[in-house]
Amino acid sequence: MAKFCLKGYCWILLVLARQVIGSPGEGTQVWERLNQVNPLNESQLFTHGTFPPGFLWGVGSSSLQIEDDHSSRGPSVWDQYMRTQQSWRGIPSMDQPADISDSFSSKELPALEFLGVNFYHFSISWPRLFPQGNGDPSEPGVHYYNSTINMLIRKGIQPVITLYHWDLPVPVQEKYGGWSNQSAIHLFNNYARFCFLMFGDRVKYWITMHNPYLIAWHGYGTGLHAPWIKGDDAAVSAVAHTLIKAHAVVWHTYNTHFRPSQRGYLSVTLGSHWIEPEKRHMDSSAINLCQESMDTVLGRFAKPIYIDGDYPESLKRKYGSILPKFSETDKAYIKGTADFFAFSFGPNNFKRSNESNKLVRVLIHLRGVLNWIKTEYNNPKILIMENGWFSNSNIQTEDTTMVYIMKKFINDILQAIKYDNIKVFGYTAWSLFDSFEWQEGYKIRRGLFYVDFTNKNKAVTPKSSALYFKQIVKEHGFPEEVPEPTIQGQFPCNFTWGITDSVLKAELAPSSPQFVDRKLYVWNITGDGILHAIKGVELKTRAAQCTDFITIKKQLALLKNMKVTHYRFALNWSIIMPKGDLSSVNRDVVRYYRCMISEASKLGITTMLTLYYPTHGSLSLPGPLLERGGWLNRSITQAFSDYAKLCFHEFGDLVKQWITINEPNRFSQYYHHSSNNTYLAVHNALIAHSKAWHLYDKIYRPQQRGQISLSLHTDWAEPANPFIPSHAEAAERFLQFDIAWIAEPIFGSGDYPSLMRQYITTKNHKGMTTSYLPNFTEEEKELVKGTADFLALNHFTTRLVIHEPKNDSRFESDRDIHFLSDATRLMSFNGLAVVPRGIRQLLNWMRKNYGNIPIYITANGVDDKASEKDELRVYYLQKYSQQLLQAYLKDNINLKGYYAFKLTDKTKPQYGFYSSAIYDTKAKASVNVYSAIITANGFPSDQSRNSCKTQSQENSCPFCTYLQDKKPLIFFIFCLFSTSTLLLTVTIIRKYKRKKRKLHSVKHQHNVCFLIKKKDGFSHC
Amino acid sequence: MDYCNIMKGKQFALKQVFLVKGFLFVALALSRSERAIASPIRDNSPILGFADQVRIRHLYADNEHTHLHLQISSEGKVSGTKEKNQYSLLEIKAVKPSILVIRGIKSTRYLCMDSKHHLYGSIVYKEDDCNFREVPLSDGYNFYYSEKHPAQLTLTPTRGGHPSSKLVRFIPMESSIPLESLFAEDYFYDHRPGSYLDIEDPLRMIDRSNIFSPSLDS
Repeated sequence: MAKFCLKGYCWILLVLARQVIGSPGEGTQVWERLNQVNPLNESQLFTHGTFPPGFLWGVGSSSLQIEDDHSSRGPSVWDQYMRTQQSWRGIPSMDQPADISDSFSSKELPALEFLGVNFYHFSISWPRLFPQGNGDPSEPGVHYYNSTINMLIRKGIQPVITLYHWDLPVPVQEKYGGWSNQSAIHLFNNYARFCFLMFGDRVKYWITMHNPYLIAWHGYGTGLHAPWIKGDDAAVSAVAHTLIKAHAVVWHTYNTHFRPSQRGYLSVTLGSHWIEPEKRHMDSSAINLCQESMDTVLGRFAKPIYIDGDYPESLKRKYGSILPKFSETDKAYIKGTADFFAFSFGPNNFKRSNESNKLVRVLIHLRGVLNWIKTEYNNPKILIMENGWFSNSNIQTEDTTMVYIMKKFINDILQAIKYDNIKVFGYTAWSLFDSFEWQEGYKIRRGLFYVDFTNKNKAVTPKSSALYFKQIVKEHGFPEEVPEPTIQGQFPCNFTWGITDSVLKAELAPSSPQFVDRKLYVWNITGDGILHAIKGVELKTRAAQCTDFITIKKQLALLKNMKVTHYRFALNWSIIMPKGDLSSVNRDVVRYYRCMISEASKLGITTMLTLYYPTHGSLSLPGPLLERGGWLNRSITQAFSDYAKLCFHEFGDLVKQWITINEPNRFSQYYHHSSNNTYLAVHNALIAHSKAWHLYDKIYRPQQRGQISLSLHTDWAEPANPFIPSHAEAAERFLQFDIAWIAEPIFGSGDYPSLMRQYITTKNHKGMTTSYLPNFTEEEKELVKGTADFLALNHFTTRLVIHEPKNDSRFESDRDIHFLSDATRLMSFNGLAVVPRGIRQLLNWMRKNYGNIPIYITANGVDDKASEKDELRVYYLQKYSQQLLQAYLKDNINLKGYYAFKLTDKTKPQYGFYSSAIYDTKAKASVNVYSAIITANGFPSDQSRNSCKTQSQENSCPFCTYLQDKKPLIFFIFCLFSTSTLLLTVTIIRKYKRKKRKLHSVKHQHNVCFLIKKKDGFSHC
Repeated sequence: MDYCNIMKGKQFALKQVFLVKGFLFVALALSRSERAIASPIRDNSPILGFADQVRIRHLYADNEHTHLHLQISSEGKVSGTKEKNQYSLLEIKAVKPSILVIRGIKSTRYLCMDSKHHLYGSIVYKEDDCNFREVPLSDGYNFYYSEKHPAQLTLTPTRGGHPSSKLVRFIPMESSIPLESLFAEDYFYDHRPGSYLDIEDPLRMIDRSNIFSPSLDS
């Protein structure tokens, strides 16, 4: 049993009781398993919760990158390049001597304390301790590291030290040829021994070298790193071979001479990328390619060190004789020379990827690579020594993307620990400060703290990622975000459960010719298989009936099966009124729509009718109106009013809920060339809606008693970066520009939101836009204000919003925002994030702004690729309706109804509860889930007891319903019964008559009957 | 009295038949009603002889040498394919007695025949060119004639064997193409990050696109 003790936490490692988890080469299972992962499984969703007790949090840097003064040490192979980069960037040279101990205590140490980390992972500069690479150590160098370690320990921060992070002393390179010469091993061992001797009493975690693959590959292969040597695979392999040996020698030095007294742990940080087969190429050849790729980078070092002292088989196959061989003595010497698995996962391993193969793709999927390590190396204890990404040099403290990449990485680790039982015991965020980034120079920034390079004396500033990391360290992971248990309960008894459909395509003629064709036919009379009309025979055709339309019958069957009580669909303005005015009304189409509504109502399904519903493909306006400029021409408001009048007149007796226009706030899709067009089109739409509302209110409402509104596209918005006030403002601004833009004139003041007006005016003054938001006249304000009887909300997702000033005059630019999608969120194929609580927040925001108006969710749904088992939609539906229940019960939102989106797919599986007609409109799994929610009217604690059901007729008289349903059958049985009774009676009568006749004949012909009786033995004749 | 007994036996058997039939009907009705609850009622008209007025089929044609399925490409080219594919999936709808309109599902083009008897796929429906008369043969095959033009729907094998052996006998075959594969290439395209990761936003989280609304997607 070995004990890992650090900062009071003890790790007990049961070395003897280790179970064999996997072995080299078995990492291929990881990709096979990946293929079967269900993204809805709890283990795949963002994981709330904390890390195991004793999990270590740290931050890292390296000597060359963070040490301020480079004049007081010996030269390293990177120095010349770094100076060139500095002068290019106008960064003052750091060749003047300065007290670097002072710099550490004034900059690094406070930063570390700010983050609250358990350890600091840094490296010792070999040329600072040994300016010549060997020989006499430098006294100030030893003093510097001694004081650094002491300061850290005094603050309760453990030093975790890397001996070699790429800053090779120039003499070692020039005199010996660096790592291509075996003698470097000896020099490195001497240096390491000195470090153990001087600092080992206070250091528990030692790393021999950082990412040897990059040292070999970029330093001696691609020539991107010092010492800038370009070489072939053989040269790279030779250097890697030397590095492995150098590590092993140092481990043995520590193990033999220092471990007994110092009791520390030593390893080597290995870095890698991650690679997966493309989804469509998930086969053994692609998997082998991935295995080979991982073995080349990671397995090359990890297998000899952690398993058996020899290279992976795939590497031997790939390189053949190029690959150096370990002797049996070497193997025994190298095997087992690491006390834990030190791992690095960062951008340097993803640069210049040589995998330009279409079968595979490289991903920053940390959980995948951790699983691979687990399987290949028998589930070692892992310490993440480097993890992070980078931002471009123009990014200062507002590194929002980095926050979400960090969230993804750290959650990957939490999932790996929680669900895959991977033994990660510590994490190093990389890096502490922005600094020189090797071959990238100063083009990228990797720090948690921002550094102004041109002014070295300026204080370093924590970036958003530093604040986020501090929060994770403090909370020890991701504790539950305000726990929201699922609650039990029901919606009100008169709650509307519906389904939304877009524009219903009218069937222009009855489907079946038998109702319109007057001829009578005979088939195949001449043997040619053709129907021949009989001349002179004229049949009567049946009067047109709604049942003639097969599509209606089909559509209603879907609704009935779903158990919805309401159906929302849209009319096609351009087909009903092809010329845009009352001069031509397509009566056939009107009749079709009326049939749909009346047939539905016979089944107890109420219709919510949308008058105007533009789609992606077209504005769906009558041609002449489109030619006159569509919504940009004010005259359209009168045309719309006429159209609405026609619809109220034709359908108003049956339709009690009207939507005039669907999502006017999405007109920006059609009128996108300039913001002024967008604003004008919406302005006219608002006037048109108001006219229709007043028309209904005055003329039709007294008799028809319906309600009328317009439906809004209302996605919820949250600030992407919680640490930046401008993001919170941007989120609210988005809601104002997108929702309040339409809602405020109608439900609020009668004018556009003041925030929106002011923002555009201010931008105008600054010359950043030429947008002009139209003004309502006082008359128009009165016309528009209050013209909706309920709020109709189409809600699909929640977006993260970033503030970004934009200089251009389009609607999307005026609000100065762009979006960010959190990679840890569950997302649909079309990119809709599934954030159930968003709908509840939206409802509360609506009430806060517009009061307690009745609210209908008029569309809510998600796209799902599955054609039958649409698990994502099921998940979405359950979670969103649960949030609605909470909004209703806990927040007392005046919620009246819910329309799921939508009934059928158009072609491929997307938003439909039923598949498209191409494949028989099959019900997907979500249909049953939705009808169960409808039947229970929510989520009652006792499914069998539905408090509303008792009032309904259905339950009170199940037999009546049964009779109603089975009318034809009962009739048939009745006929059958009466026919058989009749037959029976007739027979009995006949029999009786015959008997009588027989008796009569017996009376008169005794002898004959007697004879027969005797012959057959029948007694009753 | 032989006659008397025979009548009795007959009557008994008749009664039994009625009884059994009655039970059968009741059982049938019950089983049907259960099915009706579980899935939407299909428009299974015995008069029409097939499931729907609109059928989704492949038009399979063969002769002693070869077989083909009629396909309509996105560009409107009409040809034959050995293997069924998404372009050979056709929507067949009756518009008048014996008269059909045939439309490619993937290409969304109507099968039409011009006055020179060439087949083509048309985006718009033209009554003269795009109506076909279906003539069933006794062996289950059909002939298809243009309603207007005096010519028969014919597929010519492009390669190999007998150039003269044109295919004129068709069978509308049920589709075996799963829905996913019909739109396969759309689905294999992955929005998630690909191989090129040497960028600031490797998870492709920054979204500068405009808002799209699912409700406009139709």
